[in-house]
Amino acid sequence: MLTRRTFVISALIGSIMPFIFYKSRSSKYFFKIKNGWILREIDN
Amino acid sequence: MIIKPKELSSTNTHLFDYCVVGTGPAGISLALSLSKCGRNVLLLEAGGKDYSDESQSVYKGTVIGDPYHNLQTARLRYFGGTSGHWSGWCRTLDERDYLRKATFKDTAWPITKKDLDPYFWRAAEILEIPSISADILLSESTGIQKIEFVFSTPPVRFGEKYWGMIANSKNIFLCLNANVTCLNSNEKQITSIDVIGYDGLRVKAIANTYIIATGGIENSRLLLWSQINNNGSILPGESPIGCYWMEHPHFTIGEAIIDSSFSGNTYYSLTQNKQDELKILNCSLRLEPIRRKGVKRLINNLACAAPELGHWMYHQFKEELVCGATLRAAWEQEPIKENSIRLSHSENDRFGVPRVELFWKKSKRDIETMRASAIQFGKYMAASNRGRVKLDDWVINHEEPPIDDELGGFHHMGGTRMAEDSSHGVVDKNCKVFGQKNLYIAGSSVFPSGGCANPTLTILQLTLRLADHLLGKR
Repeated sequence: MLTRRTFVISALIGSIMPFIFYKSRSSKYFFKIKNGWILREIDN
Repeated sequence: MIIKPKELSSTNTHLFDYCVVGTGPAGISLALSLSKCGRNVLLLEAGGKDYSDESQSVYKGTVIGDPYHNLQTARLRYFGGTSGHWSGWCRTLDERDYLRKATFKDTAWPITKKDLDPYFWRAAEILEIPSISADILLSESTGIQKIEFVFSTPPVRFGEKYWGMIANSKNIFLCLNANVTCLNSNEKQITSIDVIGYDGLRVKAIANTYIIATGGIENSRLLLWSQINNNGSILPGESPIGCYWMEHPHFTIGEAIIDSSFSGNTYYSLTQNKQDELKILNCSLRLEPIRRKGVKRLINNLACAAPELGHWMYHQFKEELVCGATLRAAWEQEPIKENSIRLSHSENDRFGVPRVELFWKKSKRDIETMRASAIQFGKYMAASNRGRVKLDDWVINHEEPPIDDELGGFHHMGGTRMAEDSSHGVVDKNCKVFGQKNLYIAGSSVFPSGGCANPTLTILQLTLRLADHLLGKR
């Protein structure tokens, strides 16, 4: 049961983590200019 | 009523209250405002009711410096003036535009936005425009705000709209084909002006008060020539006649892939605080939608810089969630004394008046105003994930702007600038020429700085304020 709950929680965190990471980085406004494009640092 | 130049001699037996030179938006609005209060107005127009090469050729001139429009076609010389090719864009100047900035000391007006705001609705009625929405702040950190331009649609052609009213007026005396060549001054007041017809007839026009409204280039030219012919007695010697001339440079500066929710043309600028922080002047940015084919090319280009983002953008495009746009900018130039209207030493027009030489260059700080504004906009689009902006190479690499673009907005400003004293300007806060008791200037030549708004609405507000001043209403 514990293993199953841990799995579910891990899966949930795994699915939302990239989103949180994405949003938090964008709110800090790290930017770069590449080939004339004004991009976020995380754009690749 | 309409009179001929040769009739001016006989009509001089009764004095006109006002002589207004020029029938563009400023001249016509002023004449109508004065006549409504029962004043007799002599309204002089150098051209005829309609366009003619004969009149237009007087506008030939030379541009020295940056590439610019042909001066003969950049304005119109017949009844209604340059409103004949006006595109109808309207916006008031921003509060900051009137102020002296820490790093741009010559931008200050001796009046504020509050002095012109009361004239908005009367000007809007003449120009047939609606109210202008307040700016909407989109991002505090980047300083990007959405701004609105409103349009006179179709653009009001002053010649067409007001011909009947003026021709039938009992106290506006419209004289067509009346070329004003010189103002004559004695003991600090204008005593007469010299008028020449196309048939060579020379007459003098006399009024109590004179208002020059011949446009953002000719106002300076007439004053410069009159100053010479009056042995320097029109204006104090230190007056910067013809100096601090300005345009709004207009260029395509990049492209963008944007959220499909953007509809039609949208306009942006930086907040006043952000302009102060970046030590720049005002700049308006505009997104103009492009065809789908162009978007694919843009996405391919983006994929070279950021492959994963390009891939994601391509899927967004297939779902019609993004579209493409051209990024255009129109921005404020810093007022520089060397940018100026001067008189040619070698070429005269058919009436013997020296032709115009326009010295005009964009400074490095002018380009920086546009570049810094565009980068802030790119950051806003990326941070909000509403799109990505690509700036053209010349913008990124600090190179000279292309010569095959729009170059400028046909916005001729400065030359007879408004100032607190004659060492810094040509007219005072009431548009009265320093050193003369009865001479005024109407039009954008009195602008000490230009903001990023098209000038016609401000010209109208200033003109209506001038009318109130002349009529003793304020």
